Amino acid sequence: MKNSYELGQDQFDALLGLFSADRDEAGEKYEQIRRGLVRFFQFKGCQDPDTLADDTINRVALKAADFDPSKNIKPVSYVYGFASNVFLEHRRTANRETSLGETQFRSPENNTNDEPDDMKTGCLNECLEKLPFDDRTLIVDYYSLEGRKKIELRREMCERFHCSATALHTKVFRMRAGLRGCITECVKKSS
Amino acid sequence: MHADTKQLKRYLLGDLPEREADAIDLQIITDENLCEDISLAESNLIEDFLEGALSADEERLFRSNFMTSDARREQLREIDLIKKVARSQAAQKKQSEVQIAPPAGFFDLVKTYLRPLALGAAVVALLVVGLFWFGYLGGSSSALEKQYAELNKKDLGNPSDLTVYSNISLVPGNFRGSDSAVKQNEDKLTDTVLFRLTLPSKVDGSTYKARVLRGSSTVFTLEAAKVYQNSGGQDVRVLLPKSILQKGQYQIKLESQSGAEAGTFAFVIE
Repeated sequence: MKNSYELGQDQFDALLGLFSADRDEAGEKYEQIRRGLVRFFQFKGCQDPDTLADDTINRVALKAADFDPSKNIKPVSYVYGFASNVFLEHRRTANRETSLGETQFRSPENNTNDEPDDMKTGCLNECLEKLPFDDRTLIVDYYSLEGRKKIELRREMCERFHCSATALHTKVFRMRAGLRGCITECVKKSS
Repeated sequence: MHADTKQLKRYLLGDLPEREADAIDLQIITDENLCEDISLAESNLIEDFLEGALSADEERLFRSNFMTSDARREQLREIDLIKKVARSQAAQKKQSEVQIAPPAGFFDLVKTYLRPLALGAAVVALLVVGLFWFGYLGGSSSALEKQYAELNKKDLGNPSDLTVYSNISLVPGNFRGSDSAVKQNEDKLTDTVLFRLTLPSKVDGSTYKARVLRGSSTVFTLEAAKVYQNSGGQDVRVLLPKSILQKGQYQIKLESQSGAEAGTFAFVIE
């Protein structure tokens, strides 16, 4: 339970009491909600989801003693109220930093120039070669087309593999994670 | 209730009414399973941006509300790189793809049959048809596989012996979309069809196991398909019965005798 050391025992007990009277069950629910908060900040595009989740938990803990169960508010909704505020504050700060001159990301025409493009392309080709033939074909096919043809091709792939678009993407997403590691190693060796 | 694709796209762009966005926020916190759907929506949004498929308003929201973390900037660079490489590889593959040789015209066939060597091949073809009917009437697909296993033991290295068969030449790869998949018209197939399967480089073996799949079902298996040299490298030549090829999408999977995959070849019968 990260950052729980910042809270007093009473506050931490009150926090767990929000989720359940049973200590073990409360601990499990706490972990679930913390993971949920990390996802929430991640999908909101926040820079450091873990820190923001911990910040939210701390704020909830400080106010947990005021939680009134008779108002029929679910604990998760109560926590979400704090998370929304943390997010809005974070966005205001982030916007201020951006307006102070932080580098904006670039357009697709020139957004890949942080490292030598040829090196990364070479490494990606090398890493693709290391994949089993069917995996290589799948990921190359998946990203080979654009627009309507892309949509049709992916529909065909889903039919062929008997899976949903989400499941197909998850497979490709995992392959990308593997390729990412391979490319990082390759770039290190090459530079 | 899970959000739909369009709603998730608007959610990621920060363009949903507050009440709907709140509902998705809460779902994200409570339902781990929604992650995969949102992850897909994120990737699709990035691809739409890279392909210039977002409207002006969406692009503005993409820049201001979505592209706000290093993780997403990295994701954009990664997808951009993979798309560029995939497009380049697909274009190379398409260039080197051998098109299906059209079946010969009537007069060409007459000329061909007048040649003694080809006449012999025609007799073989008739025998094959006979054997096919024998297997078919026997009602056993394994009998048909055995007959074709015998047929495939013959030397298929002489091009003039092969003109009696309709010929489908394939390079490795899965379906590339309905427009670009190798297609053959069912009506134009001879009773026995010759498949030439170009082997990818760096594969070893003199024979391969060939499995013909329709969807995910194996419809025919040939245990020992032989490798032949051609001017550009090597290919596996396989004679298959037309009777297993109805209209639809097929794949031929080659495996070495040790079980290693050597390639997947896709085609469509129309």
